[in-house]
Amino acid sequence: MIARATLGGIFVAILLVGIFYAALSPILQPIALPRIQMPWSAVGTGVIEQYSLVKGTNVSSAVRFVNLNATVKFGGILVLFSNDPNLVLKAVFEHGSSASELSANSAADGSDSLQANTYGATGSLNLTLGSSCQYGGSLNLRFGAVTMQLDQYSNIGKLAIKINYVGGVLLNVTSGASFEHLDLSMDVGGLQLNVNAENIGRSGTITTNVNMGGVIVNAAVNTAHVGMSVEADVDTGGLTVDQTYFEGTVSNTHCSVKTHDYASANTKLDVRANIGAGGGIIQPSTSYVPGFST
Amino acid sequence: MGKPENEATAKESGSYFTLFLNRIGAVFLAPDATFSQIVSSKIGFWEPLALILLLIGIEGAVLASFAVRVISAVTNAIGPVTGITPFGFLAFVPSVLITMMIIGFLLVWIIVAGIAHLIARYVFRGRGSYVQLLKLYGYALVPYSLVILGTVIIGINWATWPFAIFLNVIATFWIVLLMSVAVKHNYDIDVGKAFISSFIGPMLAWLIVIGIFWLWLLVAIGSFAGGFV
Repeated sequence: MIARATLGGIFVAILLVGIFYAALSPILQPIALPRIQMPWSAVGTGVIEQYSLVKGTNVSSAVRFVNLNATVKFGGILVLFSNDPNLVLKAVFEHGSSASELSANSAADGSDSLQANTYGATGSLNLTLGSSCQYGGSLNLRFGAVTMQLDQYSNIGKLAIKINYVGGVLLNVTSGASFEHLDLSMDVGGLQLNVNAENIGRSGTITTNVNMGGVIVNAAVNTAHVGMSVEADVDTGGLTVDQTYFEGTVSNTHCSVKTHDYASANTKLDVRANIGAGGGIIQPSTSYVPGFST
Repeated sequence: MGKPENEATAKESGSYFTLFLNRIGAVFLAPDATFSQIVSSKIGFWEPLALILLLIGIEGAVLASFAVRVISAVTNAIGPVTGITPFGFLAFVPSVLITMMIIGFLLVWIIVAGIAHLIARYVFRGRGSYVQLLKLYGYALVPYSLVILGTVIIGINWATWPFAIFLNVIATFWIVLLMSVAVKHNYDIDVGKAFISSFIGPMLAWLIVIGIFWLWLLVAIGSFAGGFV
């Protein structure tokens, strides 16, 4: 009997070991693979270039509209807004020592408009925009990622973000963000739109076109102030919509939904998503936190 | 095996857990007597079912932990290329893996026992019930714990794979042996017939299914290739 109980005990012990191992091994025993280093992100060999346009210094103080054309072939573009009213554009370009340098120029038309161009073949372009101008134009990439943070200092007219081949776009919209229209498109990749806003500066629209990949819309808005609608179509694939947060019509390949109180909201944010092959997820993000903004 | 048989058939006393431990240990040490006792004592269906769910669920969880580690490692490695691309959707992989393993194994359990039942009952004219055989097959899976142990050992250190394979081979032979003993006692037939019912029969059925699949694949490829295959 002792031998049987012992064997039974060993059996139970093995099961417990299995349970503990399954629970703890991802934490205690992570697998380490070498991180893939791209030419523009090589540590220690990178080159950092800066290009700035500042009102009263190298740009007329009368400038109010900026047509921005930023292009990077391989790499990433990060767009942030600052609360500096004199800043028109600050471009920081990081690239490998063997990669080509940043090419940047601007041309004023003599009135209140400015054309600003930046081009880098391979690298990471960080753009900081000011709070006193309205920006439009396009951000272009062939392979890589675009991240844009729209906060209370942002002011965008019509801006297109285009990834010609493969990549990802992350767009964060927080309280006070102001834009008229954003056009996001890519051939292959993923697009994530995070809206976490108590209010937005004005009503705006966002259009997304993804030929192959996915679109994720995470929404957390004060529905009394911001009415948000999402209309999405998927040719091949499926849509997942959280209908506790959004109301409207939903099928596997099409949805047209709005937040509660959409009609009575002060400002409206309308999102139109077209997906060729892939999927879309429209869902609430973490619970809305009043006053949250960055 | 006289003494263990006497022990197994003796009236056991103690808590349910102690009896359970004794029963599991007896499956390893004295399967003949234990299966006879299980057949005669009308042990419920839930204990063997829970055993199967535990064994397969835990093995699935260990494999899922591998999946989590690999996914984390790969997403971390390609992070410089993909940037902030979210990979949260890959979180469904472990749960799907565990669910598929459990569902798959329950199907295998039902089918393999069904084939053994048909052969033992209708070919070899044995007497016994299908549900009783399902119960015994649940206990016959107890050596699968060695497979879990092997998987954990491999997870701790890849270099231990020969030992893990050794444990897997032992577990396989042991399970086949216990399944034969289960059929023998459930249908009261010779061990040779029981082996044919419990192992040869299901293997033949598996070969037939695989053969049909390959035949269908050849015909399908042939139709695409204009009849050249």
